[in-house]
Amino acid sequence: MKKEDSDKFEIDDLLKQTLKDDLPPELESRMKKQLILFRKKMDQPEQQRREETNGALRRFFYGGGLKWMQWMLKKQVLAPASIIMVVLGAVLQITGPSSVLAESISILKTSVIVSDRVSHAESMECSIQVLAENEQHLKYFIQWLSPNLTRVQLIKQNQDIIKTMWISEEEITIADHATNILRKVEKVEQIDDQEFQHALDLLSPLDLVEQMEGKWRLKQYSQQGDCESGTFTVAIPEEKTLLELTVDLCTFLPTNFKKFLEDPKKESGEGKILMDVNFKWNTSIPTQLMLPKITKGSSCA
Amino acid sequence: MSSIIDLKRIWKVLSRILIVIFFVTGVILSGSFFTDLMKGPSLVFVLLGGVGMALMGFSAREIGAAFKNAAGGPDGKENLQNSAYFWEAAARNFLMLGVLGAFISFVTALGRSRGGIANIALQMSESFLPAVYGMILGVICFVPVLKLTGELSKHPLQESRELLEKPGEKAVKILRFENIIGYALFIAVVGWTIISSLSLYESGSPLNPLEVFIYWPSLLVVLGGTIVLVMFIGDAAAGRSFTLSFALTGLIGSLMAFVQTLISFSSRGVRDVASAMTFIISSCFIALLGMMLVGIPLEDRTITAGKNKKQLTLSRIAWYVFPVAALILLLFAFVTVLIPVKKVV
Repeated sequence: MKKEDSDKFEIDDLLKQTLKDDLPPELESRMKKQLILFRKKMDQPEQQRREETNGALRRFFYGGGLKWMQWMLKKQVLAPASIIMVVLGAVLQITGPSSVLAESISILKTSVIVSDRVSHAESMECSIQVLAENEQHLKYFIQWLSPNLTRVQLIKQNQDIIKTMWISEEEITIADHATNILRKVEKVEQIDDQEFQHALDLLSPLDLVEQMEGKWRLKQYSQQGDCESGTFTVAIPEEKTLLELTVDLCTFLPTNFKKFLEDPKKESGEGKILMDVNFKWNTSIPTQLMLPKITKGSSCA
Repeated sequence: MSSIIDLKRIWKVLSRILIVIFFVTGVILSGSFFTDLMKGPSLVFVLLGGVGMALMGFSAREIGAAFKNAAGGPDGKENLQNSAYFWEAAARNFLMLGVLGAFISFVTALGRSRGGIANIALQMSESFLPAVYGMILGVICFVPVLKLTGELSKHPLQESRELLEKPGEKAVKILRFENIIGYALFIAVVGWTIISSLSLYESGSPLNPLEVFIYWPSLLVVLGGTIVLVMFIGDAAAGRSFTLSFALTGLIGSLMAFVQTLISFSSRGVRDVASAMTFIISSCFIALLGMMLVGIPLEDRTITAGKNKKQLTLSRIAWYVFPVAALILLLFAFVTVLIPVKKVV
């Protein structure tokens, strides 16, 4: 035996004598377990943390009252439930449920179509009844022919025509049938007859469109059938009035409108009617009616 | 030598600042054209929403590193790649937020439609402004992406590949504090925008946001379809399947409703057209919100943790194609509402 080898054996013996491996087996196994755990922790800290979180979540779901959620997240439940959701959604869409957004789109689209149909009309006839001062009723009959010919008749309650106004691109002629006086003005703004003031907003379809697009504030819309009639309730903030415009949903042209004094308690009118207008569209109006002429004591046809 | 380089850098920075000043002055002096395009609340919505989304998907450390790298600060290769991804995500978030903002403004303008036709049409046109802001901010955020990818390409191919193909040794971290803040901020910004805009109703009581924004048929179709697809694709925790599923169901739902709109034009009434258009708008809105709230933050966190970097192609298609398609469909809805076509026959 070499000298080096004998030295090694001596050191080994010395170490064995001083550090005796005489731990009780129970303590040794416990130490080993702790060492394994420590090593695991050192090797995979992130995974450990995740496992801890998962464990906590698992305890939360399993242990608490949230078992129903775990049951719901099972594939066997989730798959048929999601398919039912898709089918139910499709069925609901076909049956056409009402929604605020769909209703708004419908109102806006209808008013855009009405505005377009009115501005493309070839002729318009409307009778207007206005509640004037002293609870008196004034009646007007307006006839408009494309492109720019208008006749307005102011009618008394006994059906006699008091005044007639013809409007063309060149001039405006006003005939007073009581006095047989015919006078001319250049612009609508120059008309000083108080009786005609109520009719000035409806001299042509374009005036109506201008009000629809600019002045009127939509408040409500109700519809009877797909091709029957629809009624817009509109507010005119400057005049503090409410207006109900009824539209024929087959032609998308207005048939009637009523103006009420705005009642803050009510969404729609039903109060005192300030103005009642009935429309007829695209009827044939003889052109000679649009030429100014004076006849004493005319009566309404 | 170093002082010459410093001087060059200073001149470079100064010239950039001057260009920005010239641009802003030009915008201010140009008069009403650009002032018409300014809408403060929409810009704030896009900006704050973008901050919220960044916090939802990234840690504060990652965001800080991305800013540092964009400013030219030196960093490791992996951080450089993560920073490039952060800026790409920011660009995508702004783009999507812009489109979402456009949808919210559009629906609000329609839901509150109590003005005259001209007024509503104006509000509807203005609703496209958030999309413009989103695109501008997206382009701005894309500049660092180009810069950082340029720097990445300078590294040897082997190293880049190593970075890309690094196995998922980093586990996807659970929600961090800043992520929760991000979610809260995003929900607050979207919720506040919806509620405040609907409370501006001109007369009567404010509208219920749920009634205006939730259209049950589209909600059921988009959510149901998404769950089915996620179950088929699997790996829901990675977020990618949610992003793809929301985009696909949103697109399919809105395209179906698009066909329904065209059919309603030719054979049915205005109400059917309105119902189909509501389905289009609502499907796109829900799908966008789902992508932004569920899919994208999960995906961002997975990607920055080193996973899924190779599977970005499909996600990128969903991120960019769906918002653009949704914006085109919104434009279609705008035109359809305002053109006076009743029936083709």
